[in-house]
Amino acid sequence: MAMFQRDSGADVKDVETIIGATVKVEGNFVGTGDVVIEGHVAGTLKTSKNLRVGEQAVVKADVEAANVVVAGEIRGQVSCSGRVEILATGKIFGNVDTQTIAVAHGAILHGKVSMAGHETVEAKPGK
Amino acid sequence: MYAYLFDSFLQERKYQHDIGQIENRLSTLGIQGKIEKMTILKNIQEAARQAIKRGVATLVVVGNDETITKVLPQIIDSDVTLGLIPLGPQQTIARALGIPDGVVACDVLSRRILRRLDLGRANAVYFLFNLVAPADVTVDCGGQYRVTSLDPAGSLMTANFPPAGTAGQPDDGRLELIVTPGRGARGWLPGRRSSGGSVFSITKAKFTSPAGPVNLTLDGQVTVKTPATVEVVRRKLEVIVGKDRAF
Repeated sequence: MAMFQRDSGADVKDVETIIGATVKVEGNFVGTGDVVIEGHVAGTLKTSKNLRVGEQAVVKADVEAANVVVAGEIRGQVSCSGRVEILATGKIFGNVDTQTIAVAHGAILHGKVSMAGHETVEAKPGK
Repeated sequence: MYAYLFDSFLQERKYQHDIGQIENRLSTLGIQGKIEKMTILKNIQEAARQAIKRGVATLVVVGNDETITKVLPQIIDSDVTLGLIPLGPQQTIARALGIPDGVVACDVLSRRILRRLDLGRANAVYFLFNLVAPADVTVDCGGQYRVTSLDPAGSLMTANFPPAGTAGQPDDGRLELIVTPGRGARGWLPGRRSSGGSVFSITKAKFTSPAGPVNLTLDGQVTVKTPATVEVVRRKLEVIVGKDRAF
């Protein structure tokens, strides 16, 4: 799996879509390649490959991707068939549905996390 | 059967030596054909139409980007293969196709590596290389999502031959929509962190401008006004390419 490199922005050689800082995308974006967001997205975003949300990016959308790296902000549901990684500057305001998750110190996650293959354990009230 | 159309600007004295070398080399390689040299009274569009009517299989244009742009509409709906011999300035298309300047291009022609390329179409006008629009144009991509530039000093391009570092190819059935920021913002460069440029892979899009019609420039030569529907036409043109091509 060619996941995005953590600190170099992204290995953009094979990136199909780059949404730069000076661009706004509205609507239902569907891609088949890696996607890098540095700008503004509103609506929904779906790709069968990897998604990186850059530090300055503001995503007000439900997103779906194979793997997701978040250094910016997502306001919406995150659905991921692989791994979600929230970096120290990353913020997710919404529910996350994923296989695995990594949350860095300083990251913000407001929402319910569901991990496929793992049973939900209801918290029991203390005696 | 080959036909060779020399653009009118090649009448200038400084090109005569190269033209002589080209004619000799074509003969040596055994790929000679009818040669027509354009003048102010003989235009290349008409010469291309006549050559196609005569049934040429390969039409070779000798000149530059502008020459190719002039001939392109004449050959699109034919089965003719396009060849190039670059002479003169502005050789962006030849570079991308891997065709060297001058007499060396004859050897590329004789090797005859063929590729069938996509073309872009804006309303009814075709383009081979790219379409450039001002930044205040909104692009509706296939009715699914809209792309708007937030930088009024930027520019917008739809490329059939995308820049190095992007995933696109001129025969992949897609066009690359590239939004470049203006001065003050960081330009798009592959591998650069947080660059301001954007790239989208599209097949069909509608270009509109809220401020009224604006010009879209096709291959640096022809203009089409917005609103315009821009789409890719798959494998529309067969071209002779060189081994140093950019795709």
